[in-house]
Amino acid sequence: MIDIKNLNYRYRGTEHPVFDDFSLQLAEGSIYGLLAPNGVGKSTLLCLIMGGLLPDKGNGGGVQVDGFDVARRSYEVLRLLYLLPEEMELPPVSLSKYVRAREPFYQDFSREVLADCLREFGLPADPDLGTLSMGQRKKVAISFALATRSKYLLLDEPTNGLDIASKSSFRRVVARHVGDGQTALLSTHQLADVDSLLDHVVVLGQKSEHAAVQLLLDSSVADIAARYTFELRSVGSDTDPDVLFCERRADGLHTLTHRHADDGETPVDLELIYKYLHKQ
Amino acid sequence: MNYTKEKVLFVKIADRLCDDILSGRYQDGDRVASVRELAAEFEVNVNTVLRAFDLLQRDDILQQQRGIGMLVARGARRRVLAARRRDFLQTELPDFLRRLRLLGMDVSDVQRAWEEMEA
Amino acid sequence: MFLWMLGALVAKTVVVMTWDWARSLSRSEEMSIAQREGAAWALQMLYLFPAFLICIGFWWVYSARLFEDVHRRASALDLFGLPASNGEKFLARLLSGTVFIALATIAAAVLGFTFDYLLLDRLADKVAVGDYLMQAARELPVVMLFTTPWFILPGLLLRRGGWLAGCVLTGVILLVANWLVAKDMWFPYWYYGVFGVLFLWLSYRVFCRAQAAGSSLLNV
Repeated sequence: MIDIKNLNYRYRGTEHPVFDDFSLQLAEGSIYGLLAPNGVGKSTLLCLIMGGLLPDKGNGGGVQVDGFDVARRSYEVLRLLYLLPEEMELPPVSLSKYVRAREPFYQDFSREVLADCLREFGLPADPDLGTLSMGQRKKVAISFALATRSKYLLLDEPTNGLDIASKSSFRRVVARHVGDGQTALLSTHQLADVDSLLDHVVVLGQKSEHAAVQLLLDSSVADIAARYTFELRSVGSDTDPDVLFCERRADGLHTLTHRHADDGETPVDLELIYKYLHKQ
Repeated sequence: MNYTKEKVLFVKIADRLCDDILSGRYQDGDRVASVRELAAEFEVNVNTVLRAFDLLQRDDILQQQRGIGMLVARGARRRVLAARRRDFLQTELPDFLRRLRLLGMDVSDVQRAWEEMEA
Repeated sequence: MFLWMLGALVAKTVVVMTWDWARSLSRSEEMSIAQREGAAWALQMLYLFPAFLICIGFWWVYSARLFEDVHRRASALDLFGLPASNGEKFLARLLSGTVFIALATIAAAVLGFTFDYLLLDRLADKVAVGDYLMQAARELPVVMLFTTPWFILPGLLLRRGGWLAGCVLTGVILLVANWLVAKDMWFPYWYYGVFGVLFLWLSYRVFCRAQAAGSSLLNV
């Protein structure tokens, strides 16, 4: 379990903290979506979780993963985590050389998973990392991340820069290779790219421009489906008293209401929930 | 199988598996692809596929065999066909008939169209 | 690359010219001892002293840049995320520098002894000319070893100009040493040893608290 407790963090040289007494728990074995507007601190949170950034010392808050304090950067805790940053530096060597150098650090590293991901993305088995385009480098990075089989996979905007076919491939490899014991945290502002994969949703937001980040929602998708009803209603329904939020789209008026116990379940529209949370 | 305005994702997946049974891709007694493979094929969460499996098990379309996996139950094809006919008769057909009436047409128009198709 | 080749060509010309001059001098019988000493001094200033400075200079810049990947966000994340303890990463980085110092030491020693036995001896009739500078050349590896931590720490703390801060720091330490501690010796080993160990430990602590924030100064 990733246990973020009373986290405080301020960017260097700024007055206002990004995270002020922030707490969040991520359980094992789920695929989490981390949704937030741009610039709110998704990347910062991911870096704080894997120890790339260190929490401000204050009320003793910090990040613990499976009981280990991440700030200590011990081998025991680092081997549980893998961060795929939005921008990654890859040395100009062949992939096999890169893998050979890093494989020993990851006990559960799987060359089969790597090969399958590369095949799914349409990449050669051993490309020269220096000659790849940005999109291809991203795909190699994703393949490597999945191949480490790390218990907690943190993917920062993984679909950014991928073409449509590759986004589909991304979903396929994540569905196939994130094992039952693994947890994946996908931070994204392109919800449609990943929403079919998610078990659990975390939504972050800011009350005002320099305010600290707040947790707007931390819920499983199943829970959302149980608590809310998503419907396509006719024009004029926006004034219905039971409507929590609505949005007019090309195909009609999408509404969000509380679900009554005996109502059938409706497909979850995460975008609607997200907009509803950010409206307030 | 329930008919709702737009089906929940796992119900859609269940429908796709029923399509496969009707088309003959899966025969009675065949083993269905693994949960992971199906999740990858439809690009959904593994739990979504599990819920689809649960639904199909409850409706006796699939059967969990210890040690082997998820099999297509005996008589599944028959059952899927029967359920889909039931659905059609209960929802799509009444809608269709209502529209016929609205348009001022009747069953003889339908008969003519059917004969043209068969030819 | 081209600049290096040009520099090597120039260096070779200079060395060959001075070598010929030295050999011609050594053959002439009319030169006085003073003249020979003068010539020896000139050769040292031209040949040995710059080489000494260049070796030291490169080594100091290299030490300051030993942890330069900590200052760039992407490379820092890569380094901190690698499953190994802080101590293992720090030590591995130090040892990788050791290979360089070993090679540089060998180069410096060869330089010093070559100059001593082949050039100066021939010229100055085994008169101990320029002992001061000669000692410096032999001291080169020791100097490099001891001053390394004084450059690693500023290199860790500052994104740019770490080597410059290191030079300032070295100057301060030397001044304090020669003023306070040992007025007769110019390089009391134990004093510098203590400083070296202290700075090495400080560097490790800074490394443990470094972040992938890409700023010019790290929080400690």
